[in-house]
Amino acid sequence: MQTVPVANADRDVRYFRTSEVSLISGMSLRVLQWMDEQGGLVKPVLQGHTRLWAPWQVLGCCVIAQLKRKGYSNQQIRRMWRDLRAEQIAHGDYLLAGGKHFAITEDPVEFIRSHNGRSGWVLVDLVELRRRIRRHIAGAEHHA
Amino acid sequence: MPALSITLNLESDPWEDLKLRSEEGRLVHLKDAPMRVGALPRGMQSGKASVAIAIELPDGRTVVAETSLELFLAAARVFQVGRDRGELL
Repeated sequence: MQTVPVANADRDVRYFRTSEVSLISGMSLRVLQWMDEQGGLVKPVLQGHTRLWAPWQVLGCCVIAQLKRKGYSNQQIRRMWRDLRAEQIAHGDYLLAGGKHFAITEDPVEFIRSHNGRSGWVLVDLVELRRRIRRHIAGAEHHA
Repeated sequence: MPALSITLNLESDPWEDLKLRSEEGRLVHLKDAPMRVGALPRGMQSGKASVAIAIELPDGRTVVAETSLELFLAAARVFQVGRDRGELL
């Protein structure tokens, strides 16, 4: 696994460059830069002028990209980010969002069942997103 | 697409953005359009199965949309919840 040495960062973690994060998440380089500078939602570490993103941050960017595509505002996403823990997103199966409700769950149907009255939901497949990241790493190693 | 919007009841919770598009004449609403659904065993970027839905438009073009089999099945289970509650017949 390619490892980028970064000060104040975990040496065993495979870090991603912003161009890779853009490719995996579908977010433009400009939006990713904005997220770091203004939004403060997902903050990469800096190596000189290069931003480097840990895997869980890449996953976070993928989730944010999906929610933005589904019409969630920056404010709503920021609230979700505040309420959820990074490790929940890193290990959960689904992220379920419905209005002010956000949850990481193995069983989205049961969660929806317990929130009687709410009709609209967005379901994000976190397992699929993690597989994409792993596939990107495998592809990058293959081409190295 | 690794994310899917699911609306349990469009009567109580309509797609407002589509209402706007309808008013602007930018919506094609087909009630009896030829529609196909099929599974692709390795259709997702991860290699997992996806479901493709093809809809033929009146102008002869066809729209194909794809989502993961996991999300498609989850949506179906959510609608089953609505049916169990008696909201969907």
